[in-house]
Amino acid sequence: MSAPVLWIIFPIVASAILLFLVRYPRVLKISGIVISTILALTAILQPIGNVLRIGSLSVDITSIMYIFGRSLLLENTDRFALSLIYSTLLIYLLALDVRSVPAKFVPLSLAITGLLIAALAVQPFLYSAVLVELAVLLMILMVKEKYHQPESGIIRFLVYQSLAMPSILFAGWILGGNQASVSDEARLLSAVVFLLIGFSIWLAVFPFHSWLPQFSQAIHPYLFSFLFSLFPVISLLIIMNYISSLLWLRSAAYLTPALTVVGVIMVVTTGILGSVDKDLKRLLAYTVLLETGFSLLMLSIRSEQGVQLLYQSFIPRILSLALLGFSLAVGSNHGIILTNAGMKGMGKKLPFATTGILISLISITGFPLFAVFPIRFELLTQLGQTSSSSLIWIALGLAGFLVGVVKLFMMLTAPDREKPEINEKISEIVIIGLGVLFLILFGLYPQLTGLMIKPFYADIPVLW
Amino acid sequence: MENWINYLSVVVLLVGLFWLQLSDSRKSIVIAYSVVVLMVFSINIQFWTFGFALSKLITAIMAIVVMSLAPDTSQQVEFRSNRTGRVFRGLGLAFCLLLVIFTLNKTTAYLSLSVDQTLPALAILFCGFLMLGVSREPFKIIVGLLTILVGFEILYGAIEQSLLVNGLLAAVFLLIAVVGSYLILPPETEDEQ
Repeated sequence: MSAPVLWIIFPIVASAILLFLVRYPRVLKISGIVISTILALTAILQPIGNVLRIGSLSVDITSIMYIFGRSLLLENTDRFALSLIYSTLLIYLLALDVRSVPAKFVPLSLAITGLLIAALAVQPFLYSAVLVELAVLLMILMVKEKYHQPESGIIRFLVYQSLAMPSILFAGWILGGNQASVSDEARLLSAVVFLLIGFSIWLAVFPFHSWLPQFSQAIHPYLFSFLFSLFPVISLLIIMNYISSLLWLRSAAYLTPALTVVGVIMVVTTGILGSVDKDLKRLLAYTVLLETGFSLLMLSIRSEQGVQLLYQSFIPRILSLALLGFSLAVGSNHGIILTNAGMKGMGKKLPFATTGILISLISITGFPLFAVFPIRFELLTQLGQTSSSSLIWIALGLAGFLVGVVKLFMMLTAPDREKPEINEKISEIVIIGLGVLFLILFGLYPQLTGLMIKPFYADIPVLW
Repeated sequence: MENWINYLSVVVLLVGLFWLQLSDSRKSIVIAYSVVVLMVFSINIQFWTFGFALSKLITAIMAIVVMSLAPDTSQQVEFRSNRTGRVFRGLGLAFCLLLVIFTLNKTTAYLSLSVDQTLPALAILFCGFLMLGVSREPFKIIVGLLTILVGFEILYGAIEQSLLVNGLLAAVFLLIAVVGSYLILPPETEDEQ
């Protein structure tokens, strides 16, 4: 059996079968948990290329699968991504409230995950855009609500993502004819422009960012946090694939300044927008933008350390976003309107959800003693050695974002005459408590994230 | 042009694009779109294998059929534009076509394709972008997206003949239509469940 069959074909086939069980959400949830646990554990424990032994049964896990003249290739360098992606899926399935999130979440999330991994694995890598587009189309099927007219945010998401695909494919075509002749700079430059447009749309880089807050506003916060825990991370991994595969791009002198400028612009614009926006669902989108900005800055360091830092950053990033999405979903399920005004005094009605929201936002801002801080601190230290002016802009962006968080804090804890009470269910309190605990643990013991990716250190791709 | 018959195809195609751009009713949009994809087929068949061109035609037709099967809610919501809007859209497309025609030699050389493919592809792409830019109705936006993909496939199909990639592109095409028709479905009421 090949690795692509296990981590790509199996979840897609399983999702197709599970679609017949949408009337049984609990069965679906348990099936999803079992499948994602198996896939996450296999990715963590089983090196690709070795024999997998289960009792007397032994299966040789090969890395490649051929399909219609093209191939899907998963190697040991992809094991970290596979573990991370399936662990993320597992976290979201474990915390899934089947009463507030549609049952189709389970099969569609499996199919989306499988397709996104296929986008990482497809060879030649230039075709990944088509698979990402297929995943995006399934995302829309997942988020459209039965009883509401779709908001413009969903249609905008569809339009933007559908425009990214031709852009990247076209760039691939230009490059395909030019791989051998790096001297044709005009054509290479036009390929870079098309790639840049496509990637900017995927990552919602300014000025292609407007769809993200609108999309976030239009859908359930839990679905948004799931989709955007995976999508930007996989987009970044695909971008790294592109950079590492195209030698002329990897050695281009303009790559570092371009990544730095784009990263800084993302952090600053997010800070400004986050400071003035009063909608918490949109703030959820800004947290994604902020993290993506920092991820690009990590890539811009252009060293092995930068790549390791990026890989480490995925863990607190996904945890914070999951906690924020879950806490917002708890608020939304209890009839709270997710705006600054609507959340006034929420601290007294839903104290644990409020804590979850605040801790995750504080962690994303990069406060000391929280999960994101050690990585952010390391990044800024390294960035200060090469581009100290960008630090001032980053500080400005973070200050703006912090203003938004402080404003929210004041609204959540605003005094009112109601008696404090706990309205969350035990399961919700446990999940939020665990999320908060992990964010603090990763902050107090920064070596934990390092330990988690240490088994994969030897296989992390070296870009520069 | 390599074949004189293509002048006829391109003229009919341009008429189809204006028709598509100026149409407001679903029926008219569907017919205009079908005319466009038929003309694209008549051009593609000269450069691609018959099976490949036919599969693209069938995919495009199936997509628009899926879209047209979704219940029309425009009787409840008035989206029809006024005459000024139509003039604006018509002029917009005319300017785009002028741009395509004036830059045709350079773009054809850049893309290393024949004029017979470049002209229709760029005209369709611009028409699709214009539809995306000026439409508010979801149906027209989705048709705009499909139009862009039809234009893109003329360019991309000329250089990429891989079965997997073209199969996936066809799947994307159909899935956009399915998702589009799902999005424009009128919302169910709680009682209907």
